[in-house]
Amino acid sequence: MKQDNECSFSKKLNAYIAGELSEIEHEEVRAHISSCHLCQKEIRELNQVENFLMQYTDEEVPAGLNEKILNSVSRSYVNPFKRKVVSFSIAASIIVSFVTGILLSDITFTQETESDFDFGQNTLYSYFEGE
Amino acid sequence: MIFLLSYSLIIVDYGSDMNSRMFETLLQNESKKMYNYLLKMLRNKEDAEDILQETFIAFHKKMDSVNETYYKSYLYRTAYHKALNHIKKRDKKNKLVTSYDEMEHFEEKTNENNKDKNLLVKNALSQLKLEETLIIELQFFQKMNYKQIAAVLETTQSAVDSKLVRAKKKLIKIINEQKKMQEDRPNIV
Repeated sequence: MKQDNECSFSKKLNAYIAGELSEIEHEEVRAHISSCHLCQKEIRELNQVENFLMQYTDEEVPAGLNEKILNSVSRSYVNPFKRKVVSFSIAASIIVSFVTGILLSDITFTQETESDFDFGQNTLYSYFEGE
Repeated sequence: MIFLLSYSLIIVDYGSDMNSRMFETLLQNESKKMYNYLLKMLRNKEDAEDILQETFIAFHKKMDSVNETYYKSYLYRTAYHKALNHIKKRDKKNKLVTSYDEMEHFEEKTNENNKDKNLLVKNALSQLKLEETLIIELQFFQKMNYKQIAAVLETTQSAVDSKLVRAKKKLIKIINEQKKMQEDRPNIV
């Protein structure tokens, strides 16, 4: 149940301040605020939060901490991209070696098989002849 | 073959150089903000330093699988989870540490009076839930919009709005209590 001290626009006020409303909604809320004391009070409170937080000034990062991070990163890290390219290079080298191997063995095989085949045929003939 | 290998080596160097430069730039731009966020969350300098290091190292390992647009979101999400785990471990390990920290802050608070406004903010934020501290951090200090905050928290924009409203209402209450305390005891913050 809605209380007397609560306005239906209340839910939109945070988004209004943050500039997250559409242009039409923003104008609608803006027009409403000018005549609603509850919303004016809430806007003041939200601004109070912002002013309070604005007091904070960033402290400096301790000297040498960024360098320490960079050092530990460069020591421990293996770039996945680098890993992929290295794997690719290794794979490419293996494929090239394999293909070269096949080509070379094919040449040798062709030379060798001629005599092997002859031997095979001769053996076969002699087998049948013998029979 | 030689051509292939040299080409691969050029790509290797180029890729790692690009990543190193990008990481270095990100570290220079974000480490101060991140460190301050962790200070507000952890309320302890040594812990903030440790988690800052862990966050950037973890980010560096995953850098290639993260879209460049989401670097910052990824960083804050990592820092948040690491800090959360750290707090849980710290509290579990030695509850005295927490009470000591709180005592230390009280001491600082009483000694430095109004000089350290950062302490006032830190103390107020420390009374929020960790997720609320993160959401306030992202909106006020990192100037992120709802869409960006939703990406960090992995939630919807309307949920971001509700969480922000809740966190701010708590903060209003805390600020008013702080004011009342100052009025009652003008020599203390």
